[in-house]
Amino acid sequence: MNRKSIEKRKYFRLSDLLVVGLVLLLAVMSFLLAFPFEKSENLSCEIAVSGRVVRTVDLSQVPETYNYTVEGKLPVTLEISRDGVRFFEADCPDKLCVNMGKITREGQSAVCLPAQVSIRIVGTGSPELDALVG
Amino acid sequence: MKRNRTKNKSLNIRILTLTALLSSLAIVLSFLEGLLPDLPFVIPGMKLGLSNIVIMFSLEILPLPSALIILGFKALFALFTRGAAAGLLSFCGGLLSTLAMYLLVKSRKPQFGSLGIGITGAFFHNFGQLVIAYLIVSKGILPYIPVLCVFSLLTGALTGLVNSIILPAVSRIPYFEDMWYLQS
Repeated sequence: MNRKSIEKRKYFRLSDLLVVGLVLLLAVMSFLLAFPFEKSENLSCEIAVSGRVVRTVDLSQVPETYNYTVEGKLPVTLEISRDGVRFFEADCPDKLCVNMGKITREGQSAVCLPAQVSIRIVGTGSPELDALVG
Repeated sequence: MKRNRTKNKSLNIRILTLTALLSSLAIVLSFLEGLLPDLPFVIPGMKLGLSNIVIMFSLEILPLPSALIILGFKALFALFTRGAAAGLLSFCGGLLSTLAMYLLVKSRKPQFGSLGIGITGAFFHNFGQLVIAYLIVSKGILPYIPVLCVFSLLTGALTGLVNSIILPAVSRIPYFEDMWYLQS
């Protein structure tokens, strides 16, 4: 009787769908957990003068775009908005920092060298890399 | 009575020889598998699991200890040829997958097919390795799990298919005939 049941081992039985379903469910769930779509939720901007972080702004808490003046070697004004930060105005001669535009993604940074002010977008997770060159 | 005992003895010897034979088959298969080129998307440690076919087969016609001995030999082979980490990975993955497959093979209600058993074996084999790898390097393993699941579905379906072809053929060989009765 037992031998019969072994010989009858089929390739597919309905209960196999349970196994397939569970594995697929785990795949989808872990994928969503590992790669969440709302990545920009918890970005914040670090403002540093002479390499020292003087202020960290949680971008998700920014109600509306405002200007913020940092007293570096020279005064610079930052424009802080929900989706990013840019140098708005600076007393430096070359205006390189203003021309860098808005930084919006995790890991991006902008610097005003004459004023020694740098801004950097950081997230709570590990930094997202564009490419890794060995 | 006496006749019965000699018959049992011969059965035990056949179990012993078959266990030894399948052990060497498992080792050869895992060696051959190592010769295959690495697939680009596959994470190191994820294997096709050809030797899982042997374990599946042994679970069907041999008692559980035989299957455990086979995986023990396989882990020893990995230990001697590829180092301590590989041996540990092989043993833990093998143990987890063997026990999981054992439950499914023995399950009568509901009864599972080779497809489900193969996928379960492949999944737990990779999962066990991933957990041990996590304990060793303690890096995030969450991003690997979706790959692992999809990979297990494919390889498990393959090993299950092979096993469902082998089993009916083997069950017609007289040598194996009364071995089936051993499984209760």
